[in-house]
Amino acid sequence: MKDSCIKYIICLMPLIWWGCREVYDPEIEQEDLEILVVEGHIEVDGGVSEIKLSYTSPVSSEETVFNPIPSAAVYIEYQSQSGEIIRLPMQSDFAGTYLLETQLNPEADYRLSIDIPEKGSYLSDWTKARITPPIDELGFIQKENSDVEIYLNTQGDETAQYFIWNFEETWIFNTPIISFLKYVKLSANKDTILYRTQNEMTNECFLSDKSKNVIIGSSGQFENQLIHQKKIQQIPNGSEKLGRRYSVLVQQRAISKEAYNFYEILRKNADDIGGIFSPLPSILGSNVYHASNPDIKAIGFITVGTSVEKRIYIGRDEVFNWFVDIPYYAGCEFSTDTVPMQFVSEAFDNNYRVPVNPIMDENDPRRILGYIGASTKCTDCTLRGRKEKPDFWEY
Amino acid sequence: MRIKLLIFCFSMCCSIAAREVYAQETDEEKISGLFPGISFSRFVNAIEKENHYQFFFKNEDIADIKVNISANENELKDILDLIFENTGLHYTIDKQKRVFIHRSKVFYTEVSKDFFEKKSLQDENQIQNDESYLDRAYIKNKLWRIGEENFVENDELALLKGTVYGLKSGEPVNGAVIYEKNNYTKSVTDKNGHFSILLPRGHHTLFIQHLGQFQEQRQIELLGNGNLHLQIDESIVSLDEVIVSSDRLSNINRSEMGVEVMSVESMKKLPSTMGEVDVIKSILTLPGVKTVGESSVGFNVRGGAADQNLILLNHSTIYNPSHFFGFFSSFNADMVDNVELHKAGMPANLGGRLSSVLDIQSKYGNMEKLQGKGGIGLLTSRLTLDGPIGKNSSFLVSGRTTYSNWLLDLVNDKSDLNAAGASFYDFNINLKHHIDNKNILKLSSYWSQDDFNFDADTLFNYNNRNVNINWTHYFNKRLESEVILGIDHYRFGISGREDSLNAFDFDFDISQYNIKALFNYDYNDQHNLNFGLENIYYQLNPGNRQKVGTTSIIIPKWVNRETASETALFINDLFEISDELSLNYGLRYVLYNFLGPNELYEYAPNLAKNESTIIGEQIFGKNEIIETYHAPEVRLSARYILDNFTSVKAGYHSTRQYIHLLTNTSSVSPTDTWKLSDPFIRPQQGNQVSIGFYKNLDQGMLETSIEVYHRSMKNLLDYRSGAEILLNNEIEQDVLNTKGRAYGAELMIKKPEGRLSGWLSYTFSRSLLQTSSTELAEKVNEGKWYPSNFDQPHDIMLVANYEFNKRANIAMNANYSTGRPITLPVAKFNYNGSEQVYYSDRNAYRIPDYFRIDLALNLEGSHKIKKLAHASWSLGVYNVLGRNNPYSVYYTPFNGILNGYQLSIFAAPIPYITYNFRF
Repeated sequence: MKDSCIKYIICLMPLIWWGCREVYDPEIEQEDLEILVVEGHIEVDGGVSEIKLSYTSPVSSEETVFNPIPSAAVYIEYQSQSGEIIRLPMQSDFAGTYLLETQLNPEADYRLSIDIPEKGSYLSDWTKARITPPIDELGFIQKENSDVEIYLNTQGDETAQYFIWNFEETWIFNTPIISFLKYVKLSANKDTILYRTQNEMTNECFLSDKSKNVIIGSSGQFENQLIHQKKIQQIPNGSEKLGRRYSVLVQQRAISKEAYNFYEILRKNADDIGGIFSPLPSILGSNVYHASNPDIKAIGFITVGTSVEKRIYIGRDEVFNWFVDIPYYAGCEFSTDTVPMQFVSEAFDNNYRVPVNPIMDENDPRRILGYIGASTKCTDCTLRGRKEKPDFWEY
Repeated sequence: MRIKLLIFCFSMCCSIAAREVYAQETDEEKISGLFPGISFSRFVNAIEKENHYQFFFKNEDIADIKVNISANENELKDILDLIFENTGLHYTIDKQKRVFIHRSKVFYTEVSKDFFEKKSLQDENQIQNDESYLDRAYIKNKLWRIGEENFVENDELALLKGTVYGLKSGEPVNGAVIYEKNNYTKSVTDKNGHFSILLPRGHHTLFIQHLGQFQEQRQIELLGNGNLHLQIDESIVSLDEVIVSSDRLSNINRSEMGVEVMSVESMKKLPSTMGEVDVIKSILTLPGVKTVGESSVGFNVRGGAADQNLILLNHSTIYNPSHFFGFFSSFNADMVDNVELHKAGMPANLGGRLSSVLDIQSKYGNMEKLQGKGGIGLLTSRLTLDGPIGKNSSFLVSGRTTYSNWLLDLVNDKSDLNAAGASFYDFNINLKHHIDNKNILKLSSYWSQDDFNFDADTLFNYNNRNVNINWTHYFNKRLESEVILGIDHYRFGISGREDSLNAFDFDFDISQYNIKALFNYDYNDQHNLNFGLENIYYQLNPGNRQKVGTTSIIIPKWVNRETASETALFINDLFEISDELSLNYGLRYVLYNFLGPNELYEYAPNLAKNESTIIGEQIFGKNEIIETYHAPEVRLSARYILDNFTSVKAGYHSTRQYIHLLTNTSSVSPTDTWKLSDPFIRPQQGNQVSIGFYKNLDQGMLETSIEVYHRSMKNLLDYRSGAEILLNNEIEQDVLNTKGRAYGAELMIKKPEGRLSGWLSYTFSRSLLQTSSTELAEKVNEGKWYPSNFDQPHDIMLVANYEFNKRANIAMNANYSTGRPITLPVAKFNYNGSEQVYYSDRNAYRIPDYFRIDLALNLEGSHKIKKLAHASWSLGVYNVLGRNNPYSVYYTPFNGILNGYQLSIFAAPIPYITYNFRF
């Protein structure tokens, strides 16, 4: 309730009060703090544990923010019955991600140990594994303004009151213009136009995206710990995502209250700062510490437990009033002029135009007069997505 | 015929005016010349030759007197005082400028009273000393004979008491200074217009000076103790007023320090936001008073938080002094009489807050006739009516409302916002009834309401409701009492209707029941005692959330209600040790009880309070005492006058605060809740030491002052990261015990009068916080001192008002201040799929400095007394330079890329126009 207030006041105020929002460059000294950022989850009871390591970058830096640490030694640790600490090394992909697939006992406590040559060693708190209850329902509704909202229902319990959700969505999209033809260069001065085979068609591809916002919730305030119609994603009306068929895989994890607080601060710091009634930025806690020097800080909260997933599909026929408008394809149209046979090389021997359809003689349907062309951007979906159907895709 | 009549009228006016001028000139006839050891008769000859005086004396009386004087623009009586010193001779000057030299103490220049007036003796005293029966032109020069003529007593001194009334309103005048110029004996009227002044028997010229008004004078012959009721003219005066009317003498003489008085008339001349005369925005022009941002009504006094200010409207506590997201303060200027801000601590009869008291006195109805005034502005309109009810009662009704929804509607048309609205209104009803000469009953009430919503489904509202009855009783000339019974109520609510499953109502409210008895005892001319007791019974609902409708799955949640009582006994003595030295000292003893019913957790000792350190729960019954705090508070200030134009003051004040505002934002927001002190949240404590030096230059045409102060504070509240404030039954787990210190210097130079008036002030101030060393949960900035949100070290304010003529003046404000502290992102990183920011230490950086200039033009209509309605226009421009003063700075990911933004509230010059009228 307070959240929405803040968002709106930022929008409102400039309009009423002649106020304004401007880009701000504080011109403060931005020494590169190089704080270790640890993001990840230890998956127990089977599954893949994944940890990402990176350094912070200066706020003013223009470069990509992910500043990975490829050469650390990362271990998942637990105590054996005898009290001895068992270390399980994780595999680096040399791009900052460390993976381990093994069967971990859900009854044990786990922690992470990270050795970075230039910084020393870091440890996370011992954390109890949390067993995540299943997602009872993953569904969608079309709202009054025709947007589609993806929601889920679940039920918490005494050990699982706080949740975090992530999702990965995948959808089919089509190019506005279908090219049935391809230009083939046979040799230096010999070329031709051929019909594409089914495999060579480029009008239909798949795109996918991951959740970007922090989606958290708690069941404590609801009767029987029932989380009802928790909004996971909103798809604006006309989005290409529902142009053909859409699928979303939602992952649910039960987390501790401390982890929930961490994500809540992350969310608040990102969403709420700067409004008139906005809270002050909070100190982002962490459960990862430098093993010997408390002045060396680390950012991140390692969670431990099981994850559950659920997937749904939404077809275009399941929603109403969905008129797809893909901004990327704005301005796509057929060339008005026919390309005569003798100018085929000039027209299509490049990577920005393709032949689309042949133009036949009205009197002699076997005689080709020329071709209609269009830009590659408007016909080749592989410029944005991939043609291969994902493994999970049904239908 | 008509022309002749006009000419006749015109010449009449001229001749009246001429007579007035003549009278004034001769009154102030000055004597110059060198009289080197001449005889008195030669002196008399010289005076009579040059001036209009005529001397009458017996030759044997003056035979031995030699005059050895060099006079330069002196008044005759000053010279005569010198000449007759130790001679046993007295003199009397009457209004015809006849000077009588006599040996007896009393000399009558007129025939006896009952020569013309056949009145009984009892009536006589009354009429003689009540000028309401007299012609205004005459009273200035009439000699008032006061006291019983045959009164015989050895005492050389006599006590003159009386009341000053406004001529038009018939209301008592508060704060008028009555003084005579020989020894500068003076008295200031209290809020009932009463004054008392101890003077040597004999002839005096009394001067009456009220907040920037014309100086009036009265001639009195003081024979013994007696009364004088005065009427002073206030109708013309408002045109001649200075910008801020702290009265001139009090600047030097007042024994308290750090008290700022502002009249509404002077506020009206300041440039305003949206043309609305604003009490709180006006006091922000005073040194030592700051705000975190333009949109917030909360203000910070000398490094104190916004909740450390006690805001009183006729003894009622106002919990939320803002309207419309804080763009307006909730007081309708038309009903405000004057505003007093105690910033260096407060007198002993006030307490319960750490930093300051903003004491707003509202007007009561006049006793003469029905009057009205109002205004029409771009966003709001207001109307006030007042007048008599019967012979002994009066009323005042005042209301204000906004029609700003049309503006928001306009915004809605042009944007995607569905329905956002904001509206407010407030009204006051004040009644006053004179039961008899010794008893006055007053009723004061206030009601404000605000409603706003940011999207169609979530509605916010809040309201203040206050009512009190005030009974003033005069026991005798020296003792009077005031008993106040009142209820103050504040609530806010949120209604969520986004979908029927999650529909909820949230509300918070606080009620306080007050009883206060105040006595003022004028013990003698050296001691003026104030004492009394006060009890406040608090009932607070910290918040509850209810489900709405049968389909809602929201679980109702209550935070335990809180009850407490705060009892204070206080005594204060204004002790005039000598003419130079006065001491104002007081003690306030407060007993605070946090009462049941309640349920509280017990925590393991010496561990941070959180869920895992709960070791038990205690249940308390109704009105069972859960925790008691009691402590004395010392209020001390002293003044030493070095000469008539210079004084030094010092003060020490300790204060305690038992109710706290829970806020996680830098400004005061409508969803902040209050919390009573309980076993975990101890009362806030503050100590302030201040020293001031005051000097008036150029015969008081320029006032200068320097005040320095140091404050230390304990048990302030800061919050753990991610603290949830609403609906938190265990708020003790989320607060951090914090201590604070603030110090600074305030320099001011002020020109109170003249065509060009105004002031320039410079304030240096710091306000710092530190998590207490005993706090186990979390240490902000690793336990180091950090600046508070309103730490703005440098502040310069220039206020100027130039009067073209009586009907037009322009005013200008210019304000520079250091930007307030802010916590800035210092690094960025990728987490959970998007870019995130890592923040610096708390308040390690500052937003850009603030600079703003406002202009205003005030135009008065014509001043014909008999006009149907008097109109005036206020127009002006807020932020003339259109400078984008950032209110705040923030970083937010936009399409996954982190961008820094600065938010300015008023980033362009904002013109306004308001039409005001009265009838």
